Amino acid sequence: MKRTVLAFLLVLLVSALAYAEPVTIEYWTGWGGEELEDIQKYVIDEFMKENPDIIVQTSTIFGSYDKLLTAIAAGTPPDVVSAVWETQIPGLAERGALMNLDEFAAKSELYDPDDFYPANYRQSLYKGSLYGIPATTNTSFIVYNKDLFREVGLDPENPPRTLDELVHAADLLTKRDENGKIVRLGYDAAGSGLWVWGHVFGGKFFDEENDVFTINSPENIKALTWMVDYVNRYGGMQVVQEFISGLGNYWSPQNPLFAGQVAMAGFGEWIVQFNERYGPIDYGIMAFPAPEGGVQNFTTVGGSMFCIPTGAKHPEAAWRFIEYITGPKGVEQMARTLTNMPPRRSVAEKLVHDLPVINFGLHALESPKAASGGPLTPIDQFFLDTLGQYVDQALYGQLSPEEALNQAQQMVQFEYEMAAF
Amino acid sequence: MRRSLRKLAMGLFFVGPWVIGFLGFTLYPMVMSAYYSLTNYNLVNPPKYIGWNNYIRLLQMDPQFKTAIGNTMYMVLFGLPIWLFVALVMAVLLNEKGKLTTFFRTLFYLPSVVPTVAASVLWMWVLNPQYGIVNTLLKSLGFSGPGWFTDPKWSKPGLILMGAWATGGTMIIFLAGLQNVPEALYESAELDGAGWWRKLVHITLPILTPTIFFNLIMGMISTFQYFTQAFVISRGAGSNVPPGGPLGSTLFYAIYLYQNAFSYLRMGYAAAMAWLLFIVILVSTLLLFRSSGKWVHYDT
Amino acid sequence: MTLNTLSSNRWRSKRRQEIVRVVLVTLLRVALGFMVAVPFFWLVTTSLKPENQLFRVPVVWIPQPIMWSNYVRAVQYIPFFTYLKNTLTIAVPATVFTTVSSSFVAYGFSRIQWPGRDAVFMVLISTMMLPYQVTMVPLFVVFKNLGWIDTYRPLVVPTLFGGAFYIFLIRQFLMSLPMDLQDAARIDGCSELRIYAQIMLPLTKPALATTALLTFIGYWNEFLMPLIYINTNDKFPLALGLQQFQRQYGAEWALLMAASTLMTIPIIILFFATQKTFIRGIALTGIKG
Repeated sequence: MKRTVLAFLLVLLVSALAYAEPVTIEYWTGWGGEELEDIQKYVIDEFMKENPDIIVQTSTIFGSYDKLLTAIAAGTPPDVVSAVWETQIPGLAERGALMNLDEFAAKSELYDPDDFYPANYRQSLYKGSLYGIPATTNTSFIVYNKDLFREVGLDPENPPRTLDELVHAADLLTKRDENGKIVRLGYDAAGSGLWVWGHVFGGKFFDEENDVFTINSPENIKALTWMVDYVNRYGGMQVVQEFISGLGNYWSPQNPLFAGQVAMAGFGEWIVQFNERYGPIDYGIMAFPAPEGGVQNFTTVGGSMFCIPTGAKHPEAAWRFIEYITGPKGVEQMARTLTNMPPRRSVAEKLVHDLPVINFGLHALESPKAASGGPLTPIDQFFLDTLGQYVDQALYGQLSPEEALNQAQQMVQFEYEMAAF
Repeated sequence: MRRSLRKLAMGLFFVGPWVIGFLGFTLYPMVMSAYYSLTNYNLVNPPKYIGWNNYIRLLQMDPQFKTAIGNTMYMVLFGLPIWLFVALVMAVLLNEKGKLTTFFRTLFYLPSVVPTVAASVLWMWVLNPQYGIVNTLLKSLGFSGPGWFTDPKWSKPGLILMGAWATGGTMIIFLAGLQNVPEALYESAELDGAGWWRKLVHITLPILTPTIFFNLIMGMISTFQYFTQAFVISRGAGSNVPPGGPLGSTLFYAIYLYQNAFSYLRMGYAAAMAWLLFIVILVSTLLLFRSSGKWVHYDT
Repeated sequence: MTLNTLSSNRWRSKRRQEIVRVVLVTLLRVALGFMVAVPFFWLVTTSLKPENQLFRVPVVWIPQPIMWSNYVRAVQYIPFFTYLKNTLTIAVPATVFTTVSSSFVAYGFSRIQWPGRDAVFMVLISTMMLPYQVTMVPLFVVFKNLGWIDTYRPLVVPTLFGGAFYIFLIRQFLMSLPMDLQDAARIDGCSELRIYAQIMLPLTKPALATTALLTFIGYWNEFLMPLIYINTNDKFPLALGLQQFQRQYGAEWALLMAASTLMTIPIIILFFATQKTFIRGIALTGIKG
């Protein structure tokens, strides 16, 4: 009898211990450096305080996003990843590397699909199922240095609105030394990429209805032709690249915008934080100027998606973390920490007065023309690399813009069909 | 009979670990790789047999593949001879009597112990078009230096220059070969009035041919697989830049193969590339061996 | 002209030739030495520059002030000591395993006469020609199925089975030792294992030292294998960590150079400490089989 009681107590004790033992979930993030330190402090630690039964172990894979696919495909995945660009969702989901979150979402009190901006919500889904949820989102625009505008006699309150005005301003802002070498570049248009300019010119890269790529659409060819002409104004791609190789670290006061080496630069909401850390400069924001017939106020919309890889050891706990960080409270904390756009309308409306930069994003996110940062297809990486290579060939003058895009189209479409998803 | 059986057992006992390793880590993967090369395989779904399609696509439809072959051949045909030549010159210089030989030997050798990644990062900065030391020195001599790793025409010469700097390992092998040349041969040549140059051409180089041959073979095999330096330098151009730039000028075979396998998960395609590479290496090695009868002297 | 003056002329011209040669050789050595030294100078001087002197024309040759603190910042920026620990966690066992297993196998290939030995040895030699890429994909699949991705096992476990090149190297060394050494022992009834461990192993010390040294340096530098198998940052070895840092913080040249210097110094120290073994090892690799 005594022995039975003892055994019973022992079992009780063991199970109590097991119960009290918190679950440790592994979280891979694409954020790194100071940003990650802040997220850890203001968001993840907060979550752990509220949920003492879950420990989040964070590791960064900042800078090796391209490895994510292999890492997850190779098994031994973490419980949560947020180093997933919206463009990676289809590729991962299609290959069965991500967990379908529909069931979790249906039961959740914090997840509310209607609160997310349509552009963000669209990116959460693949073939109608939920695979990832954003906690932050980014829009894109051009940041310009008002002091430099004044210096060359441009009106700092009236930034360029048309392509011609942009080129004119860039010419004035570009400075060379006595040998003709560029010491300040007005604007690195090629750096923003064809993905942006193609859309600004009204082009599309993928036709969802017919399930084909449309890389060589007339608008995209026009956009690339414009980029080539633009680069040639400054002596060609080689000269521009040489200038760029001498620029300082992006994440430092040597960032070319803050070091005064470029006057206008493609940017996102992180300009606010950058200006606090590495500035300050007197800056303004403008949308990408569009040609006639193009898309005014175009922006890309993207952000890190929170996903649970297939084979995660603690999906329940992982979901609770995701639910929190993409919920109203987490999104607000993330937005404040990173001064990124919140992907949830209710939070954005609440924050708009605190964070003026969000004003731009508010309009952009409601716009039906907003595009992702890349194509939402399973061969996103191949698409981006291939497009980049052919755009380069045009920029370096080895192929005409039309030839370049025709070849890119052929390569990508072929791969798309070969991959046979 | 029993004795030789016993010897066989003993022999296999000792070489056993290698045999197991060979079967598990070489032979089995080789067979599987040949199989994968005939499939469409993305690591998650099971491989799907597609016959010779990967090979056909590589040879007929993939411009990147052609670029990669062109770049790799450039290194084998220009880079490798230059590296061997530099190593040979260094070795000949060190083999001469002179002051501070040990010091110079150490100095010439030192770059090759610098870890490849560290050396690559260093050379990105050494060859920075605007603030690098090479272009600065060129400028002080009145030349305007090229864009090196930012210029598609100069990126490979930049890599070759970097390779020439780190060719110490090859140099030491040459030096060992040089020190095997019997002194007596030189002495008798001197009696015949042969000068430094004639001795080099008629005695040293012929005796050194087996060493040159060895370095050529090893160098060729590793140049066909040239990877790390170009990978680090071209990806270093930006935090989201794929390797192989600028303009595909440093897209080497091994880099494109890696990208196919691990960026696009085209495992079957990558396996097909690997087999083509193996065949090329095999054929080149055989050709070199066949040619060796004409120029490599194994006597003395 | 007498025979005497003729020979003295000849002697003089020979002497002049000798002097020209020495001068020429020295000049060339200095010139090459200068070219070799320039990148090293650039490495060290950049690593000690304050940030605002990196991008300056004309170039700053000697930093003012000398920023020793760059090194402190570098080891914090990159988790240098974590990476160092990771590198050692891979390199030390890999070195021990490779040396032990390779010498064991080399014994079987050299000191025992068994039927088929030379054929098997040819197979071993020919594996050195096999490009790594051929086995890369299937090995990845195997290690994936074993659940070994993002661990050091894919890097370390294969070293238990000997490295073809090192087996070759130690075998060459063993072949050069006289056979009667072990014949005597065999007659005394020693087992092969004891002959290997007690007689041969101590005699092959130089070859073992070379093997250990080259393996260690190989793993210190290894880039491709960790690139393929290691995913999380806190498991990166130095080579991968440095590359990653370069990619993230592109133009932090001073810190990058400081980190590169730190990664190079241990190898340079090792090189100076073991120069003889080192040079002999490299030279040995060139000896034809």
